Amino acid sequence: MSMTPTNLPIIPRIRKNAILTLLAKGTRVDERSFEDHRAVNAELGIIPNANGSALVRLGHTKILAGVKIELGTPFPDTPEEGNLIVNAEFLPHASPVFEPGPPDERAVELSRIIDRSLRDIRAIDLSKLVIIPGRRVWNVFIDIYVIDYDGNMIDASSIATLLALLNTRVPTVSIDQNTNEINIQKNNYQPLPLTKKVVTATLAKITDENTGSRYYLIDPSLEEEIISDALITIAYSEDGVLTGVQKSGVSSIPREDIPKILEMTKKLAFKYLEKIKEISSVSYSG
Amino acid sequence: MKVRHREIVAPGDIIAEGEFKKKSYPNMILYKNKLLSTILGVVEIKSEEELKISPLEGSYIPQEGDLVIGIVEEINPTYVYLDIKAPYKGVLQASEILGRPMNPLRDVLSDYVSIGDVFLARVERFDLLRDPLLTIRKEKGLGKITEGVLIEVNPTRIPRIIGRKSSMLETLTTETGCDIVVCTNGRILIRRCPTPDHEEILIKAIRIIESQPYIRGLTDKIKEYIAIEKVKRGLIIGSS
Amino acid sequence: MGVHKQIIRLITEDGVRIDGRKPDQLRPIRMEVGLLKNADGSAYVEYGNTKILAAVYGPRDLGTKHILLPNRAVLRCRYHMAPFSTHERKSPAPSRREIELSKVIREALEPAILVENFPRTVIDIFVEVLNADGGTRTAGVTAASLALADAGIPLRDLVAGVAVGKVQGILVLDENEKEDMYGEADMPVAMMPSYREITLLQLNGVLTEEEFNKALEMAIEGIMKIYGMQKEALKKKYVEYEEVL
Repeated sequence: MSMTPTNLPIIPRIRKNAILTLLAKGTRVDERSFEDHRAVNAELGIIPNANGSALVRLGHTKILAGVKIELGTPFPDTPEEGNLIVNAEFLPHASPVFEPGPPDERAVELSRIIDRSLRDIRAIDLSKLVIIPGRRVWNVFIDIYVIDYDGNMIDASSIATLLALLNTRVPTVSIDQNTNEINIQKNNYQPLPLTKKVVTATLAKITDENTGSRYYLIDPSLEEEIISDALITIAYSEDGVLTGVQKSGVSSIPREDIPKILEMTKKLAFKYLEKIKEISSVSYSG
Repeated sequence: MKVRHREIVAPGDIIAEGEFKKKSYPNMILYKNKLLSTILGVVEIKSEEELKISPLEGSYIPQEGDLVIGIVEEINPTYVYLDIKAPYKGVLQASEILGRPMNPLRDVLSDYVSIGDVFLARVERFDLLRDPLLTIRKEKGLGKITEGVLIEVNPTRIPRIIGRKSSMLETLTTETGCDIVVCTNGRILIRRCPTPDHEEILIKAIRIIESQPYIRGLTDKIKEYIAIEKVKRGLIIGSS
Repeated sequence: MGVHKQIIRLITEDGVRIDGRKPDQLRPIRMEVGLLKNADGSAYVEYGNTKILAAVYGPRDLGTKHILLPNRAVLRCRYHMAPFSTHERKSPAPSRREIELSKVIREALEPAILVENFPRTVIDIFVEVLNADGGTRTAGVTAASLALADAGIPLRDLVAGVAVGKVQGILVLDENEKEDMYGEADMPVAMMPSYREITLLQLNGVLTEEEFNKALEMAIEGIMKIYGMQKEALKKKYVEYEEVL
């Protein structure tokens, strides 16, 4: 059962008003412009036991994405495809309001947003992950760990996921002709068949009840997210098509704001993709 | 005005457009230059300015001064909680029950009240920040109910059961001879009916009002109904 | 989603869909309000073979005070599919999809409810899918909205929803399950029509920006029709009366 959140961190009215005053003047609390996302830093391949991994910092939000490739069986209706499974966890370390226990609905939502963004555009070519058609395939497990929550977990997770996938190596297998036994060759890897780069771009909608003004902020910080009344996330592939949309939060989005939202998210997504390209090329140089 | 008197409206329906004097109207929202209904209800247009929507559904929300019937649900050391058919529980303090300040060393509330006891009370104070405070001492007739039949009706029908200037309630009382206490929270206490038949007719009449609250001339129709029923049961002689 | 072997011809060149509908045509819709005795509000809605039963309890207090909010009502919303509602029996335990949709539906209704009128209370909304044939969450929002109005809970507006799909390149309104499963995109939308405010918006699949905009317009047209039906369904109980006397 989903419930209106009752344990969110509280922002005192004075602080909220200060933030709104700044917004009215066209600036954000951390002195960013309305066009800037926070600094993105990443470390790739830091988990030796994972097939691919990335630790991403977006401002103070820290996400660790780990990819494990394991032998599996295909689903009955997709016998010639590997499987993609995306999971997300909010570690209790990440925020005073995250409690240990079964996944929070937001973690479930997050994992499904990331999953859909990749799956429907076939960003990972699952047909290239078949070992024995109908019998043995590779399962790609993406586990997203939120380890520090300072706003915009969705985009940070999406960036971490993409970097981890770019960093992922799939073992090579050989099949014994006689016994049909699968031998996983040590130290012989190929990159994951990633056909398209996809990333999410999230805006927070903040309403000033006194003036009625609405602001859409890209890459919201924690404070901005807490005082926002809705989030809108749009996933874009590098060729500019939409591969996912999710409105979340307790407020509504005026229909007339949609064109502006499309414009802002697309710009942001491409900024992220640029940054990801930069980061991943640095790692692979040489 | 976009609607007629006595029209049924739903949330989001436009009631009127234009300039409005007041900033807020109960059960309506002002959006741009339109008044929209927020509930399923009946529009009552008394004049250009006097516009009202009577809810057809909804729970009882206590207001100070309301006469209510509450049922004891929980007994705490210094007060009891009453179910008053509202999203908030009514609070009846020990001093109200005992009629004197409570002595925590000697008085045990459960000696004086039990779960399920019925009380007729007034809402003394309610401000949404705390549970409504009830009183049974400030007027005669309030207190524990020990006789009679209790029926529950949709609280939104209570104004219709009372009627304009109590016309409906008077008709019910006069025609059935029963003692009727109608409470704002959708509970009605019926006592001292001349015969069980009278009681049955009264309850049936109340149910009819409850299901057809907006019919014109309902009061006369109810008077007629009661008369016919009385004849049917041989309570009065008349042409049937 | 994403099964791209198009063995099924979902739509002809003339735009006729497998159930005979045109691309911008809704399925037959049925709505009934106030059918449950105990719930404070209830509604039953059908979009074709998708059948939803919604119930609302509240505002009510809960006894345990610690989950309540001091200045508004808390909403609790459960979207659940009956085990017999799908082709293959679905386990009664909540799936991740049901967890996400419970949140999405709650957030689609919250903007419409005047929650500040009932501090320290809970409003419970239960959406049960009795038969699933595509569009369950939007039919669910539509039904829940009727149940809320039936419970007498004040609303800024009713919320009406419908999904738009893309099937073999063509945008279609109110897709059924086959169209959803074998199509290229599924976009559920819900709105408060009197304010033109969108309360539910998701995209599952791939659309260009142009397709997205067209699909949104198509959804809004469908929503306006469904909104009209909701109003009728609510008023029906009172407008058609029989003389009992």
